[in-house]
Amino acid sequence: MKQLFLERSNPRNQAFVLCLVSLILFVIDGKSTALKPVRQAAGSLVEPIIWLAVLPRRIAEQGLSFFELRDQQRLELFEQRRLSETLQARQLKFEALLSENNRLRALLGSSAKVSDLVLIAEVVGISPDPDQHYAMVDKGLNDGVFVGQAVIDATGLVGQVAESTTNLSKVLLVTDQSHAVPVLSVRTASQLIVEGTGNRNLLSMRHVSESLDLKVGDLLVTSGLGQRFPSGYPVAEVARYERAPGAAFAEVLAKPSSQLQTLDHVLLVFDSAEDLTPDVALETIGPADG
Amino acid sequence: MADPFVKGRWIIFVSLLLAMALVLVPLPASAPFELNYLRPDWIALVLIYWILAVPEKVGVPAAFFLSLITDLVVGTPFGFHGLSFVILAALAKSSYQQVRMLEIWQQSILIAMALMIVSGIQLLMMTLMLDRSSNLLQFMKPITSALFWPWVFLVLRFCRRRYL
Repeated sequence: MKQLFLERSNPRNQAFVLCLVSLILFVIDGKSTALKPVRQAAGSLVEPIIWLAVLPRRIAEQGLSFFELRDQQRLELFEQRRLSETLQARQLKFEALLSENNRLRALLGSSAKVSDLVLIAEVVGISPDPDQHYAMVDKGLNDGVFVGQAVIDATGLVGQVAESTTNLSKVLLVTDQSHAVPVLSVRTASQLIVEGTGNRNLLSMRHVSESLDLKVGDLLVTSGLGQRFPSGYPVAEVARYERAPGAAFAEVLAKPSSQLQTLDHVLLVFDSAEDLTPDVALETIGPADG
Repeated sequence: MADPFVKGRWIIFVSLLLAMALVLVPLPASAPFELNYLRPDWIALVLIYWILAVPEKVGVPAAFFLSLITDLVVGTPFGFHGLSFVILAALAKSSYQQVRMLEIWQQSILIAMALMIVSGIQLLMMTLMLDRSSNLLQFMKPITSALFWPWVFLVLRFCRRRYL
């Protein structure tokens, strides 16, 4: 490798110049999206390092499942079948409700999209920096993943894709300090914005006026406003509502619905079949004719 | 042709690569989340070792390149690790002759101090420039890093004597 700087150049000058370069890069990359293409291209090159970090856990999991007793596996299979049956039964009722809902909506002259296409991804890592809440998942540009894509799990909204390289994506979690999502209170249909706090199990809401009807225990679902997140997915449940006398706004904290501490598998949501690469196997959630 | 600058360089790359993997390996979900603040800064430790041991092979520019890769892998904005790695590298490079003479535990104390300064800078960068808050537990990281320094030092010295 050829030296970038001549050997006789003073290391102190080098250090000074490189410190300045770092600061400038930090401001540009932290405040704007100008360097995103560079990050994406270079990120694809360093993907193997991330896979290397995942390797020990993968091996451990494979090893464990190899030694897992057959009876235990049979038991698990039995459990899964039962769960699947209950879910199917519930689905029947859901479909009846859906058709009824659609009929009512047709009377009102509006239609709602109920089912979404999803891609299942495995979480291969979480942010090593506790102040940044993101998860790495094992699907990337090759699978049709795009920046800004909504990510859910079985219990609710997880976050959105922030960066994507060839085979990996970085999913910004709803609890990250820079994340916000427009929501709807299911009980009263009031519009709110839920923000991340940097705490793994707390979300906050700013500018909640005193007259707004909001109670502890209210479920907040994505409203679909802003066109980023599909509507109807649970985001959080109001956990604390405090009105300080004299304060302009109430202080509201909420607990995220999804299992952010123990993320294992997540679902990447696609709006339409058009922006998909054809060879990727997708599942449909919700009734098929939605 | 055996170029002295190139010979044995792979062990430096491999050790830095392993340090990065070690930083990324997730803690088990059952472990308390705050433990993440206490994880040692493996990449900085390995970088410091190589600069102290072979300053003719690893220098300030190398530290800068390393910081860019670290930023990509860890997911921080470019330049976040740059400032700290460059400062650490410059400190190590200008004082390697003195630091080499010290006992390992004395080196640990020096490293804790240097990393403390660097943590302060990183905290300022995040809070002042990106408006993000952080946990003050972050200032425990230099101490855990310093506690791990003797082991990093012994392992890497073994590698250096064997392969470099």
